Amino acid sequence: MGPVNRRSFLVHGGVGAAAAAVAAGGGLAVLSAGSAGAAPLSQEELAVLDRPVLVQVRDASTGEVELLVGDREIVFIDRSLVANVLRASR
Amino acid sequence: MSSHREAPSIAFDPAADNTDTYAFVSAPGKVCIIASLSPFQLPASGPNFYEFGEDVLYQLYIDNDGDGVANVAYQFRFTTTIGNPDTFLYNTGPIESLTSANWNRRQTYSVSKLSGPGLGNRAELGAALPCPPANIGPRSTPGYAALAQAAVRTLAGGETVFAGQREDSFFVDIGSVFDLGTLRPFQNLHLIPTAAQPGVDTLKDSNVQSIVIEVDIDDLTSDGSTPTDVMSPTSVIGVWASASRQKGMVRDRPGRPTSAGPWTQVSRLGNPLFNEVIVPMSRKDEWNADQPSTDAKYERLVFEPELAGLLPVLYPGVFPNLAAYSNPRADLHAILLTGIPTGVVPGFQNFTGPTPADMLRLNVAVPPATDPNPLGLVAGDAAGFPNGRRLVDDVTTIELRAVAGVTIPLVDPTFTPDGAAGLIEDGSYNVANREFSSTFPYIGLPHDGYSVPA
Repeated sequence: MGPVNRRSFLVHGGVGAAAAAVAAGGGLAVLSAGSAGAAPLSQEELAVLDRPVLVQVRDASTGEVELLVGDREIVFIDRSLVANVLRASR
Repeated sequence: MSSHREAPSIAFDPAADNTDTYAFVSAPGKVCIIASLSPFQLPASGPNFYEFGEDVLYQLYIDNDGDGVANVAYQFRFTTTIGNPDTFLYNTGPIESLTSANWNRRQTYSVSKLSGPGLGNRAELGAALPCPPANIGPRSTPGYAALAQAAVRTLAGGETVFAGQREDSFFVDIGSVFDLGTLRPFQNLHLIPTAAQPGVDTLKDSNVQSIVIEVDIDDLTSDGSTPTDVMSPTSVIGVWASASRQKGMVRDRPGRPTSAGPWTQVSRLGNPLFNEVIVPMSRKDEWNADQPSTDAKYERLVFEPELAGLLPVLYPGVFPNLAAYSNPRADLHAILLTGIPTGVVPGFQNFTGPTPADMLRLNVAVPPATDPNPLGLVAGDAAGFPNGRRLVDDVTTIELRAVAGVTIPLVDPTFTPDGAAGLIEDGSYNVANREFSSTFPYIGLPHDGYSVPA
């Protein structure tokens, strides 16, 4: 596995970030770059974002993403998200 | 020492650094467990005095079936509040009570009890419990003893609890031990000899943050009894403490980091000095993150302790029998990882089964000693280390002597300890330097910053 495969990124969301995103017309601004086609988050969905959310790319080669929210850890596969994050980091 | 800054990572995280864990029968039917943290506190430490971490999960664990997995756990979480945002002062006048308006920065805490399979049963035992202030000095914290005692609380389950600053009860000659294993007062026998000098109690002026809880024994045993038969397996519990931080943290706001994710253990402590002198530097952080139930991977380090090989090298000709002993150290394995089985020490056992796990093992059927011997079990006082651990126990001397071979005959009668092994002492022991109390919370009052250092 090449070094890029274990490259990790932290993206932070929270009350402040959510409010800014709403003011900007919807969507999580920090993730919106390159996320063409993603549906804007509803007010109901934004309301869930009342605490910090940390996202870590665990394995870029498989699109494995780790979500840290509250005291939980959620792991999911989203190659598109990982690709967008990597491109945004250049 | 005994676990003060003992691993590379935790050395940079004092609020989560477990320094010592104690567990002892404190009164008929009662066990007291103490977890001390935040090593080497200089009492004079204004304007920001030491406190618990709001972003740290502190836990005490009890295993009552010998598998190294907790059957009961107590969780502690802390909250800090500032009364006056416009002053740089910790206090704006004497703090004469826990409700004093002069006290600008205070902490409260909550206590939860977890039990049942997978610790799935959770009970909230108390919330908004007060910590006392740091011991600042005679103007800021007059009558400190009463102020601290006012912070003792009774929880919903009947437990007695305290959390706050105390003196560091551990004593050790750190400067000597870590100068290539020098043992004052016979450093003249060292490979690099110097004149013999008495030991130095390095921590005698230091404070720590202590969490103290006193629990009914029948809350902790596997069958819910208060055992009276020392030889019964149900009389033995395993105890350890830990500190955890959330898995993720970012510094995107001025001043304070933001954390999220599951709690991740960054420090643990059962037997004193285990991580300090058994585990190699390269694995100390890993050990701190592990659970006792997986300690089999550290077994070899106990069977073949590095320090036992060093002593004959550092003290040429002083430990010839130890140097010649090549069997695995079953004595240390029993003391540190399984407990002492029946038949080794007449009338005593604290064996928890074959699972190797670093825990303090306390036989709760052994009553408190009326005249405690700081050398504990090896000196005939079965109420002391390694049967649990009391504040008064000289664990450094006990473990140094054990490593030097004094306890090998317990499991291998053919071995004769070197004469020097039984003479080893840490050299720092001086009861006059500590204020052990016979009443809760037992651990001594913290030194005040006006008077210490003098």
